[in-house]
Amino acid sequence: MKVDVTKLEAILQEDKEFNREIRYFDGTVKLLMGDATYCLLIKDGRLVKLVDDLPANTTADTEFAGTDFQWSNLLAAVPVPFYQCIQTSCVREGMTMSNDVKSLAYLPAWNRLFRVMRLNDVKELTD
Amino acid sequence: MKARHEEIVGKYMYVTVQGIEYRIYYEEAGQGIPLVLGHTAGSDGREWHWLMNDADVTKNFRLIAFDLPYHGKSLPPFGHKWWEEKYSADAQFMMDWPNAIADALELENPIYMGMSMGGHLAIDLALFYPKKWSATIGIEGALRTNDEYAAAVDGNGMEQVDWEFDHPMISRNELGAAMLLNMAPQSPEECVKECMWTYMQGGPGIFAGDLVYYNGTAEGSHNLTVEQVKQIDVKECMLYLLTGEYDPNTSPADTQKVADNVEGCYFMPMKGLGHFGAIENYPKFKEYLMPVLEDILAKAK
Repeated sequence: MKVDVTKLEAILQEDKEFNREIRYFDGTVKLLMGDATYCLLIKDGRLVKLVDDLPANTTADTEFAGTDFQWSNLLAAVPVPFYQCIQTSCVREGMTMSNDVKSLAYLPAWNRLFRVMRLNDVKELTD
Repeated sequence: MKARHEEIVGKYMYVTVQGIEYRIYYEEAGQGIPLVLGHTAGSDGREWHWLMNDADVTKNFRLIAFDLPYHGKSLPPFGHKWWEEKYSADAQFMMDWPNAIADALELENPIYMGMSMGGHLAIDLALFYPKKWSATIGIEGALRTNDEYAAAVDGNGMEQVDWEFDHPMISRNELGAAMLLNMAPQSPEECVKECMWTYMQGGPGIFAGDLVYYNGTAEGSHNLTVEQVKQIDVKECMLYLLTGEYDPNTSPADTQKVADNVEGCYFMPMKGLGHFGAIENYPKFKEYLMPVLEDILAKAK
């Protein structure tokens, strides 16, 4: 799945809830979306950069992965059961996310990240 | 300007369960058939505030929402060194509570309604205490929690549950956020956030301890067989079941396994709802609940 990183980066940097929930986070977040790989660079609780064209084996503090089909379902305007959020999609639909203290502690931020992508129909941002 | 008040009144009472006296908080609203309300794992009776403010319900039902000990405004028992123990709930402990509440308030022909673990409990009460309850309503109840979900969340022997939900380095903020996985995407954001808020406020390890009962992998937890639920006699204690289509823990397919084996019970899948119908989208939930309450009223007459 292709994402317009410039637009998504700008939306996230202005999003009040995401900025609240990502407070104090320092690190990198990788989204493996089918064949595409994206990485959020976050410093002192602020999104600094959203980059693409990275090798799939790029390491990050927190990682989310799925096929194009799974991401399309997760980011659909009204997802079918059980794609309502990233955790449900992992537990019931085979997507994966990092299972460590830091990644789980910031679950509210990740939930907001994917809701922002859903609300802004990320698939169309590339057109 | 005169303040706007709700009908709900809160009280404390002392109840002894399994030899320990607890100071328990409960709220009441309405009049008529007593309807005891059980909350979900790790939350409290605030989940029912939409229902308890609904005049269509309170005109015919006396609603009683209680907070289990360690939950909401029910403190841990005084004089008991609870801080030296890990909280863990089994089926008997869970069943003892609504039974004790019904006894303490001297309720006649009460109904029990519970959501999530309260939904499982509705089935347990219909099976094991049919003489005490004239009917039970299970919201998101099943023979056991979905195997796929329990395996993913539970791992082997509750390790993942304890790790995620009782880890000193993971705040209750995460637990609230984790509840998103249970809710329908159509539910209003304000209600979803309100549900999460209650989860962010629980005591350490309490949600994980409730899941011991809920996830069904530990001895003495909720894990019923088809043969057991076949013994439920709806003439003695009517069983109503409502389950949201977005519930990954107990999907309608999971509840259907109960409905298929309890002759004469009522089951209705709830479209566009998840695990927390009564709080995540009350107007939608009410569409499914009212036929149940009307049936109870008709039978009472």
